[in-house]
Amino acid sequence: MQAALVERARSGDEEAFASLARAAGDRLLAIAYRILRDLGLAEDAVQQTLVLAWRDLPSLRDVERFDAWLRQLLVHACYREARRRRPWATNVRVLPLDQPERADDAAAIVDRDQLERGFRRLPPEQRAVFVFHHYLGLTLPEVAAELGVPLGTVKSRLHYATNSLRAALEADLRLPNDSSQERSA
Amino acid sequence: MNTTTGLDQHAAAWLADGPTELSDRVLDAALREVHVTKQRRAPRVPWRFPHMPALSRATGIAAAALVAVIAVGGVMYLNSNKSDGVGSQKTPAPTAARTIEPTVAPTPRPSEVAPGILGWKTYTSAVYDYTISYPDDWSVAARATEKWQPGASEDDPFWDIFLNPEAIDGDSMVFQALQFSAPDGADLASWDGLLTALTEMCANPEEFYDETPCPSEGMTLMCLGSPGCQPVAFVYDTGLPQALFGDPGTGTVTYILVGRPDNFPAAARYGGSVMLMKSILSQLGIREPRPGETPN
Repeated sequence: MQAALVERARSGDEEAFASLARAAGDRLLAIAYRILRDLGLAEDAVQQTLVLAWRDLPSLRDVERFDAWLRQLLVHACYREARRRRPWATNVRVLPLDQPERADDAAAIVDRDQLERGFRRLPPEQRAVFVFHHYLGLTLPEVAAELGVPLGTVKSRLHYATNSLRAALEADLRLPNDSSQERSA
Repeated sequence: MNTTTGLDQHAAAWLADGPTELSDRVLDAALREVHVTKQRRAPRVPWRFPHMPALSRATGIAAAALVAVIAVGGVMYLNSNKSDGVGSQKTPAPTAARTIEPTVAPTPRPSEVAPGILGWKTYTSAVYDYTISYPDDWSVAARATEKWQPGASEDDPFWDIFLNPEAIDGDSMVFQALQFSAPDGADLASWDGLLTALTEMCANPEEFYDETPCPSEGMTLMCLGSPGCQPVAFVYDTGLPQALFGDPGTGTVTYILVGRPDNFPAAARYGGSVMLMKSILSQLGIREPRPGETPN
């Protein structure tokens, strides 16, 4: 079904491409948001991806690889968006920590805040690997194939990303109980 | 909290939280842009190899699905500026360090040369007069017999093509390249000048190479030579790794591309098409810019 649509779109059928875009749009946005952590940038990346996909669809020889190809275009669009909006490190989302109902809730929120903060400090290439592995659930060889980079590079990027996030969480543990000063950064 | 064991759990939960629906506004905007965007035809990979007498028909057919590379003028630049340049002899080892003056340039990171490349051979184009190194288990599948000119047909033999050993349809890599003239007076030695030239070529396809990538398409800087940095425009956002660089002396632009946008099985040997491309570029003396480095 999808292969037939891809074939038609590859031949210039806009209607077929629109169907493909509608089917893929949500998935693409979900991935882009998780890499970029900004809805506006993610929407821009998805829009770019769809237009590039349309333009270059004739170069896709294996229609069965359409989804993977689309994700690859998306990741590169995310890289461009990420670099367009530097620096990110100070762009910290403020989470509602004022009145946690339970201590566990507060801890969970602090963890998320620290993850968010740590993640935003990562280069987009490391973010992509982290998202493909932890959000899409791909194995590392699958991530390497999807991103078109060597397996060793994927391992290295994941290693650095994981260490950075772990450091962010551990840094939080070293803070006094009142973490509000962290959030004001 | 045990962050070592808990991170994956936290990360998965944290990543699961967030938007998962694309708004109609964005989708509609994309489709409106699609409506006014012309599709690019597939890369000009020659599907016939008239100059391949040594290849069997089967291989020739397979080659059509695959293939090859090129290379070009950058080497002319290198030959005139570097004492070692791209060697005229087969090099016994794959590392780019063999072709970059070690006392001048740092050893390239291992990631710059694909692990599947075990050695290099050199090829000199009779038409373009450039020399390129290509993986020593690849073969020259076609030789350019005429230069690219405005109005040339995509079937015209203006490509030098190199074929990978897994020459099986659907499991091969394609590299191709050509040279074409830049606009008169183009400043090909500076990044801005190169982008300006590409912009003009892109805007005038009837006058210049009609598939010149436009600078707005996500070009990033690479450097030719060391020390110093002659700008090379590297493009990947179209799904095809491509590189363009000019020869300030002759006013020609060399255009190299990998003709396979996908991760075909053969690409895995090289760590993907980008890695293969960068490996070949490394043999031309093209490298990633160092932190803070800008073109000459």
